Amino acid sequence: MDDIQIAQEIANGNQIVFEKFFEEYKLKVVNLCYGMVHNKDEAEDLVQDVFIEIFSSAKNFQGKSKLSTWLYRIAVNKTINHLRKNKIKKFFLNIDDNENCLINEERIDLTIEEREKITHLHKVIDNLPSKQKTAIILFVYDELPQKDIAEVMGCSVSAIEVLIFRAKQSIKKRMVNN
Amino acid sequence: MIDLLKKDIVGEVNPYLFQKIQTKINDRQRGNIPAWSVVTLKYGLAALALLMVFNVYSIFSPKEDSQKQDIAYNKFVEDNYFDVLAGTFNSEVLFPE
Repeated sequence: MDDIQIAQEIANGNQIVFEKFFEEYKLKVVNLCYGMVHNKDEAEDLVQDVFIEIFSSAKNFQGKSKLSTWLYRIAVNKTINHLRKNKIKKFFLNIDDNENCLINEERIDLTIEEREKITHLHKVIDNLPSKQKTAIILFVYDELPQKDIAEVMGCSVSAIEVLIFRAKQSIKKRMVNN
Repeated sequence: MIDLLKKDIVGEVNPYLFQKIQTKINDRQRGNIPAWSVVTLKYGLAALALLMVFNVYSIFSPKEDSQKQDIAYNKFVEDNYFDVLAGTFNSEVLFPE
């Protein structure tokens, strides 16, 4: 079954195909959202919104890109919008911006030192320019090849290479400084 | 650093996530409002707001038309046209007993 057929089946309300598609990409989308918001519960809420959007607009999929690229693009846009809304909410409610960066204590597979370092890394990633942040998250958390990242972000592969390189440099620099 | 971030990758998700999505989709389909009604409502509200703004503006804006009418009326009275006009009626009509 190719991408257009899958999209058509989803648009027609075929739950089996939709569930199969969800199972195939759920972890990728969760990790993309988690990489951006650093909170698993929020990431799962975003995943719900992303797949609802996929279900309701599958009829508009024209096959100009891969279905997975389309999915990632929706996920990136939803997450960026969520972060934007959160920023406004935090500004008006006077909530500490670093609150969300605290890594979940359920992660018993990580040592305390690793948790602290990851929390700090989250803060550093949050301070990266938006494009660098998206590129590095798709590269690290989703393990996407640079070609796919370029398709998702609508840039050239060389531009993605530069974005990832600069993001890595910035992260290294800021981690060393602290 | 990248290796450390890779340790942060989420390995599993809530097993009921798909059920939650299905429930939300079903809820939306059940309470589905036609798109045209939402559009109509939006335009209706916009028109109402415009009407209210126009109404408030017309209350507080200078009334040039009525001023013009007042000037014309005053001129009419000054030129005794009112008396001439009154002369055309019978005195019984103007001053009933």
